[in-house]
Amino acid sequence: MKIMVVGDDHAAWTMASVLASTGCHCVICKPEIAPVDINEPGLNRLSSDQIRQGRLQLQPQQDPIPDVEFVIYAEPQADYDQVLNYAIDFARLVQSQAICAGEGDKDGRNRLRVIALIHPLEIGSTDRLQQDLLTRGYDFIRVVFWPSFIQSGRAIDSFSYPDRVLLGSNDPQATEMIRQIMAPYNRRRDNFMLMAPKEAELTKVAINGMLATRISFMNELAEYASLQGIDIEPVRQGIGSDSRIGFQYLYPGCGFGGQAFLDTLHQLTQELEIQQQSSLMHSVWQRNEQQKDLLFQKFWRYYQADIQNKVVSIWGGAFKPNTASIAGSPAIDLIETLLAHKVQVRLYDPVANPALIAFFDGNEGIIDCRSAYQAVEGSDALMLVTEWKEFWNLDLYSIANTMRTPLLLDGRNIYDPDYAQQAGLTYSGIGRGMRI
Amino acid sequence: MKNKNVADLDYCKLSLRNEYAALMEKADSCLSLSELFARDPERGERLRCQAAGLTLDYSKQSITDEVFEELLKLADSCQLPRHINKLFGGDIVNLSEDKAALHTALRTPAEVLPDELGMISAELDKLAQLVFKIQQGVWRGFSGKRITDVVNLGVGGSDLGPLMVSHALDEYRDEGGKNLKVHFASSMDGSQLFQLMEHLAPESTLFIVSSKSFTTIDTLSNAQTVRDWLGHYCSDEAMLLRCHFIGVSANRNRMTQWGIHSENQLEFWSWVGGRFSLWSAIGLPIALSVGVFAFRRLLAGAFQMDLHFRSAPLAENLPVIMALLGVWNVSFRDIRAHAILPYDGRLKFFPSYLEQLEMESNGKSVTQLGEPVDYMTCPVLWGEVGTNAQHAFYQLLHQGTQPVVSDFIIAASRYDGPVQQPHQDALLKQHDLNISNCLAQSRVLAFGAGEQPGLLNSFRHYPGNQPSSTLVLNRLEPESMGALIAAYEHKVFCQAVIWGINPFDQWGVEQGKEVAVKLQSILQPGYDGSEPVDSSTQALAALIRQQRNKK
Repeated sequence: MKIMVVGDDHAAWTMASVLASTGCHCVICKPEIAPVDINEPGLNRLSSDQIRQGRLQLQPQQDPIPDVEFVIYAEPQADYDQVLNYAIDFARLVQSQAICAGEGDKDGRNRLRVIALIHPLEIGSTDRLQQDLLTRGYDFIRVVFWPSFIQSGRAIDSFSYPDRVLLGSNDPQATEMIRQIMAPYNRRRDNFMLMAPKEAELTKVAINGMLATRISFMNELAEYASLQGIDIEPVRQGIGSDSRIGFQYLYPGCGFGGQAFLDTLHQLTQELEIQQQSSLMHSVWQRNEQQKDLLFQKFWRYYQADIQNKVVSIWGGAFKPNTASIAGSPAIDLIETLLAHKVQVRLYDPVANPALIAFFDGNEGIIDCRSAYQAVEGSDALMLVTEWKEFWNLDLYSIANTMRTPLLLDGRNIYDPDYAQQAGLTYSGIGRGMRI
Repeated sequence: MKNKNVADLDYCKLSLRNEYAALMEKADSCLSLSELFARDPERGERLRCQAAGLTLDYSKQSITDEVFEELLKLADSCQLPRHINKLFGGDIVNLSEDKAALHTALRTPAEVLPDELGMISAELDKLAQLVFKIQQGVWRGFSGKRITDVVNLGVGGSDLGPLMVSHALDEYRDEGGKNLKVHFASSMDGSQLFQLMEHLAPESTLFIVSSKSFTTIDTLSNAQTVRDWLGHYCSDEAMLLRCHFIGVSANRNRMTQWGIHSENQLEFWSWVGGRFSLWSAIGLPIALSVGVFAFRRLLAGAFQMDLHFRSAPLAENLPVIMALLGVWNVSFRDIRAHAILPYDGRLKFFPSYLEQLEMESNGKSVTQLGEPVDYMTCPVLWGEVGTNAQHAFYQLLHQGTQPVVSDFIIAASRYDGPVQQPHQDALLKQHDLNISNCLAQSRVLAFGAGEQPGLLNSFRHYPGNQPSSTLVLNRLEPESMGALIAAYEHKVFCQAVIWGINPFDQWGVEQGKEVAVKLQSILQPGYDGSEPVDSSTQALAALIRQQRNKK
């Protein structure tokens, strides 16, 4: 099957590469970002292999290709009009080429084409696009919503072995096409979930809404715990042990992020606020804003507002471990605030340093450090923002000695407060350790 | 004073001017508004003046061309243009306090400001930086949280101007301003504060203590109350002062003495009158809510009016015409009441702002040289949003026994911005209805109604002949707001020149403050009766002491 992938983000490259590896002929259009820049484990190798074998092809321009049967539309920032314009261009091209080639069935109808939307637009957009194409006479195109649950850091696995394949489609032929494409990954048990496009659209954004709500709830509990001198960690485990709740997404921390996650959450919030003025999502956001600021607030309180010209080490800048992406990362807000207060930032992230330094335009207040140990030299506070595995078992004794003031603000609760204290650090986490 | 004779001539009583008698005579033989319009059907188009986005329609004022000419002669004989130059030139115009009144310099663009006034733009830049820090969340409270609420503690000029403009320009709030709630607390009894403290979070509330002298008891007692309140939550006094108080004053030493951190002090100068000070750092609450950009637009609008006021010939000078009409109405026609009627909810606080501007400035009965006057000066001013006032005091305007002159104020365009809202059509209709009400009221006030033949019901008789002006803003926006305020400021100044009085002092207010300090002791339980006061005050104080003992 010939598939065209529009977009060059992490979801686009993953889908194109994985589908190519199953024998599809994939064309990825006008890629400005290469897999090597995405820094996703295994993705660069997989895509290079597929390119070498000729199944993954790069096309320098975004123009549609007429003979593809299936378009995966994965432009994350596109608005409805952009999608519509693209779909119309595609339909026109298919039509004109088909006439030249004498293609079509005995009634002169064109062969069916499918456009799958990957990133959520406003709820109802899939149906609207279908309708807009029909009213223009393009009855040979079917539009479906095929939301991506691709997670950065484990993109290939999360696409190849998903919890379920969710599809919003009203058309049996289109459904069958996607079933076919995903067949190699749907053998063990059928985890294909079919629903109407609107239902799928709402499901996609609601999942993120629920996850964000859980995190914000835990953060609120953590604040209470901290005020009461309760350690949130055993509480978290206790809550998670309830089978109705489970352990996922119960970690209090210094704020959630990730552009795609934030975008869908924002969209959900807007949808709910227009319809019923939801204050729940508003509170979820507000809580997250507070969490993103929390490490700074602790730092401020510890030094009683006297922070100008102090030095802060930051470990981790990516929005989560195993990704180079800083889009929507809490580290951005934190660094911004520190710089605004003339605090020097010693930054270390295993991969995201260049992106952050570029984001801040080479601001002289940021020192680009090559290791976690180098970052803590002579600093007045260490803030752990992203829980990369390499941070877990570092020598806290030596760190306490290297710092000017051994203050550890653990934004992800990865250290044991007692052990950190023993090592000579003043330790404060999110809802555990010293109350600052 | 260098030249006593010139000063005498400058500040001589209105009643000694040559034009006085002529105008008195004309006032006695004034035609009714209906007759004026019957004789001159074109006056609606003729009697109009435009400047800086404002149009003044004064066709419904009881003046003829001859009266207008005579009023202009009066302005000339008072040497009004020379006075205007003195005002802008920084000469001493406030004789009793030996001060200039350079509020106009506060809105003069930096590039045309003389070097010796460079501190104005420096202070404005400092204000802009503070606003940026607060709006962007860089400024933090004692717990490290961002500021969500700002409370302006100030009274009189440190309250009315900022409150009025912040309210008027609310829809121009910038992104930063949207995250911030700005409140005002002025009353000495603490009742506004009491309400605010109920729901404000101490850790994210910032207070602006605004007082020109930094001795105003009203403001300082409010400031002390919030300082105590914050002290319950933050034991570190230095941190509390640094993170939660900004001072705005012309007296740096007193701000420092009170405890305002040096970096949190914004200054203005003794040559800015309190009621003319919203253009200075006193305007900080405006800049915080609408943003520095809109605040600068406000200043730019006022500057446009200044340019007009300095350069337009008297007969086409909007503030001058407003002033002459005011003098004509109160000093010659003996109309002692002046209603301010904005047909625009955004100008809700404009009447109370003008009450101070006009009555505190021109509520005087001696000339600049201390001589008692023998004519009416400032009328009693009051007002309300027009459509609300229609259901309150318009009855008196239509059928009462008092002659009253009114200023109607409207914005021609509204609700027509690019943001399309589902209820936009309904709002546009409301705006039309509102304007038609304004036009209808000024019309009925001018021409009356009910004198149709055969209709004998005297209850339905509206005599009319109540004069009014209508000020039309093309649109209520920062520039036109600035121009509107500046127009009234200049009107007040021109009137003072014609009346020969000093609009920049307020000795009457000072006296009350002094007496209040003396009277504090007579409320105390063990009062020994030693204060020499009248029997009424004695009796009231005794009643209050008794009542308190009962509890």
